Amino acid sequence: MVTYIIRRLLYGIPVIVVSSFLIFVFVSTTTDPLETAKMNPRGSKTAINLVIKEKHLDKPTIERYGYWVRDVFTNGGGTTILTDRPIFPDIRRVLGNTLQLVIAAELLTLLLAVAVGVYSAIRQYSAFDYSATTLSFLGLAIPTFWLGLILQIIFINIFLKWHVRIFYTASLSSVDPGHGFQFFLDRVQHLVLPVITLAIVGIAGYSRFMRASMLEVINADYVRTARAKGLVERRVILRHAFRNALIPLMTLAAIDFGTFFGGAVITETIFGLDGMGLFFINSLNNGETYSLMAWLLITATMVVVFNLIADIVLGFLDPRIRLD
Amino acid sequence: MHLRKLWLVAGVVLAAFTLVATGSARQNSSQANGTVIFGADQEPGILNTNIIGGDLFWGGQAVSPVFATTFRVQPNFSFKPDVISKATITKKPFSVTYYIRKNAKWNDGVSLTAQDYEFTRKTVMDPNVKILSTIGYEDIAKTKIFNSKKVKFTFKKPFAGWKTLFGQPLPSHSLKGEDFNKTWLNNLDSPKTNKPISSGPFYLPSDGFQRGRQLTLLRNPKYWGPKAKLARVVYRFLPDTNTTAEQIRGGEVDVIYPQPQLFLVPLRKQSGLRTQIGRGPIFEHIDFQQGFKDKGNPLLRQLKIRQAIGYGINRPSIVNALYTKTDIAPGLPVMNDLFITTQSPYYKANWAYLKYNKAKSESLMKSAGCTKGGDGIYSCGGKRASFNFVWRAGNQLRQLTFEAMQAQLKQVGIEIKADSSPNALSQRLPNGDFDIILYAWVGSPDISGLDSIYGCRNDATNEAQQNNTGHCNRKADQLLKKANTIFDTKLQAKVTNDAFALIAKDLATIPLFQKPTYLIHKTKIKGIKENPTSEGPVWNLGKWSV
Repeated sequence: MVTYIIRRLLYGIPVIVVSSFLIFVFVSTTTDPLETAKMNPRGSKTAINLVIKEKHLDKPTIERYGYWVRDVFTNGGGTTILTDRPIFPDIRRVLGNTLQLVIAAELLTLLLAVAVGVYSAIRQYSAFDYSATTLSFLGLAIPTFWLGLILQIIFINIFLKWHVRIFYTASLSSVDPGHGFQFFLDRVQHLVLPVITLAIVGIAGYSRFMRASMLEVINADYVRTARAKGLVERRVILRHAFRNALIPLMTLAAIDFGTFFGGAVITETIFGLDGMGLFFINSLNNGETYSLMAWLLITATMVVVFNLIADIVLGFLDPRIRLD
Repeated sequence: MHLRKLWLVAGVVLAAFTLVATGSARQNSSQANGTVIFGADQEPGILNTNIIGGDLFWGGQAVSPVFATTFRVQPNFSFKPDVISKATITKKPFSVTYYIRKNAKWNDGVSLTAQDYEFTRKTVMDPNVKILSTIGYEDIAKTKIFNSKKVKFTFKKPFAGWKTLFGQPLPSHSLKGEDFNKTWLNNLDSPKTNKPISSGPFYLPSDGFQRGRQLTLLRNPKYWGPKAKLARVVYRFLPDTNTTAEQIRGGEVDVIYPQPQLFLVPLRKQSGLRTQIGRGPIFEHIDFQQGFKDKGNPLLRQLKIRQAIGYGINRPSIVNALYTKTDIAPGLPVMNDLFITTQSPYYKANWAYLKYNKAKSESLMKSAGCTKGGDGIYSCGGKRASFNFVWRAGNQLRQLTFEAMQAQLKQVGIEIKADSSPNALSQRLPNGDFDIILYAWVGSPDISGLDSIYGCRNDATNEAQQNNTGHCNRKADQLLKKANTIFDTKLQAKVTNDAFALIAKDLATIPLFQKPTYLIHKTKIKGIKENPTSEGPVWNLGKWSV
C-alpha cells in the first residue's frame, strides 16, 4: 500500500510540472499586468522598467518559469507582479473561505442526493421517482449563474415586501457581523444561498448516480439471498444494499472534493465570496501570472491527492480491489 | 415521534433565522448611525495610489477622502484649492508658489507644511520608487521654502498642467527614510508609529482594510477643515454588477457606481433610489493604422479611404442604439472632440463635419480609384478594402459597436473583420498591429501633454511615444507642444482645439462617445453629486449626510 501511495504521488509530479508550465506560458504570453500603466499617457517609463526588471518580465518565458519555481521553494510562492505583495497569505485566506462554502455544499449535496437516490431506487417508477428524475434533469440543466441570480431576486423581494432579511445576497459576512454565535448565524445567513446554488446542481447529478448504483445492488444475488433468509426489508436495504451502493458515490465525491479546492468560480463571483474561484478570475484578469500559478499549484496538488484518496477509500471499502 | 422531533428542530431553526433576520434588518439600516455603504466592483490591490499597482479606480476612491489635495477638480472642471489657500505663478522663469492653509495639519497633530511638499517632490523623483507619473515634477529645477506654510517651485520649462501636481502631499514626518514602494500596501498607517495617518476628512483605521471583504473609513475627528457629516464609510467589494444592482435594490448597500448596463435601467424607477447619469471622462474612439512600424493595410494611408470609412459610419445611430433606445443614457451625444469632453466650456465639435453620408463615402472610394467587386466590396489597385478591426476581447460594448459599424460599412462597400484579442491593448496597440482599433482614453481637465499621443513620433528624442498609428501632422504637433506652455486655460484649449481641427481633417482618429456614468444611491443620502471628472463620486464625501 505504501509503495502504491508513493508511486501515485510520484506520478503526480510530472502532471503538476507540465500543467503549471503550460498555464504559465499561456497566461504570460496573452496578458500583461502592466497594460494599464503602459496605456497611461502620463505614465513613468522608469517605474515600468523597475517592475519589468524586478519581476524579470523582459526574460524569456522559460526563464521566468524557472524564477517562479525558485520562488515556490524559497519564497513561499513569491509576490504579486504589480503590487509586490506576498501571494501565500491571500491564498490561505481564500482557500479557507472556499472550504467553508464547498464543505457545506458537499455535505448538503451528499445528504440529500443519497436520500433521494435511495428512495427513488426502492420506489422505482413511483410518482416520487418520476418527480425526482424530472427535477434532477432540471437541476442539471439550470445554469449556475441564473440560479444564483434568481435566488438573490427571490430573497430581496421577500425583504422588500415583508422587511425580513432571511438570507443575505452577497459577501461572507455583514459590515458588522458581531461575535460568537451572532457571527456564526451571520455567516450562515450569507452562505445559505451560494450553498443552495452549488448543492442543487450537485444533488441533481449525485442522486442520479446513487439511484443507478442502488438499483444495481438491490437486484444483485446477495440481496435476494438476504431477503430469502427472511431479513426484514429495512435491514436488507440498509445493511446489505445501501452500504455497497454507496461505494461508487463516495469515490466520485472524493474526486470531486479535490476539484472543489479550485473554488466555484461562477458561484463565488455572483455572491461576491472571497474564495479560490474569484481569486483565479481576478488573477487572470489582472495578468497576475504568479498568483495564478499559486492557485494552480494548490488546485492541481489537491486533485492529484484526492484522486489518490478516492482510490485508497475504494480499496478499503471494497475488499475485492487490491492496491499494489 | 421522530417526525415530531424533526418539525421541532425545523421550527427552532426557522425561529432563530427570523430573529436574526429582523435583527439584521435593523442593523442594516445604515442611515441610523451615519454610515454609508458603497458597493465597489473592484478591490484595491494596494492603498499606495502613487505607485504602480495602486492605480485602480476604487483604490483612488477609498484613499482620496483620507488625504487632502492641493486642488480638487469640481464637476464643472474647475480646480478648487483644498489644502492651500492660494497658488501663484510666475512665467519667466516659470514658478509656482503654494500658500498652505495655516490650520492644515495631519491627524497626529503635526502641521502640514512646505517640507511635506518638498518631501513629496523628492519621493516622486526618486528613481527607485515605482511612481506612476513624474510628469511636471521632472521639470522642477529648484525649491525654495520661505516658511513652513509657503513653498516655491521653479521649473526648467513652463508646465501648463501645474494644477495637477501634488495631488497627495505626503507626510514627511511619517515617511522619511521609509521604502515608499513598501508603504501603504495594506493600511494607511504611519510606518513610524503604526497608527493611521490622514490629512483629509476621513481616516482608515489600522485594521480597516479587510481583504476580500470591505474597507472602512471613519470620520477624522482632528480634520483641519469642516468635519465630515458621516461617521463611517464602508466599501464592500462586490465583483459582479448584477449582484451589486440587487444589493442596492435590497438595501444591503447604499451607493453604487457601476458601468451603465441594461439591467440597471429599472433601478431608475425604484422608489427610494436615485440615479445620477453623467457623461464620464472615458471616451471611446477608433484609430487608423497609417504605417507605424510599416504595419496595417496600406490603403488606410490614403486620406480618401479613411474619409470613406468616416462618412460610412453613422455615429449618432450607434450611440442611439447603444444608449437611447435601450434607455441606458437617453440623449447621450456623439463626441466630436478629443479629451475635452462635451460638457467642458472649451469643447469644440471638430469632428462634427463627419456626418453619415453613404453617397459621399462611395464617391470617395471611387475617386480613390477603387472599384466594386461582385461581393459588393471595393478593391483599390487590386487590394480589397477589407480591414481588421481590433478591440480587447470580452468587452461587450465594443463588440456591439463593431457589429453596428460592420453593418454600416458593408453598405458602402467596405469590409471590417472582427479581430478582438485579450492582448489588444497590451501588445497589439503598442506594436501598431492593427488596421483599425477601438479603445478608450480617459479625459482630464488638464489637457497638456497630448502631444505624446497626437504629436509626430520620434523614438530618438522620445517624443509622442503613445502615437502608435504613424500619423504625423507637423502643424498639429507644434500646436500641441505650444499648448503645453500656455497657462491661460481658455487659450490653451483654443490652441489644442486648433490642433485637433487639423487631426480631424486628417482623420487619424474618430471620437465616438463618452461613456456615461451611473451614480445610484438611496434618496436619503444628501449632498451626493456626480462628478464627471476622474475625481469620481467621493470628491465631496465630507459633505454627505444621512
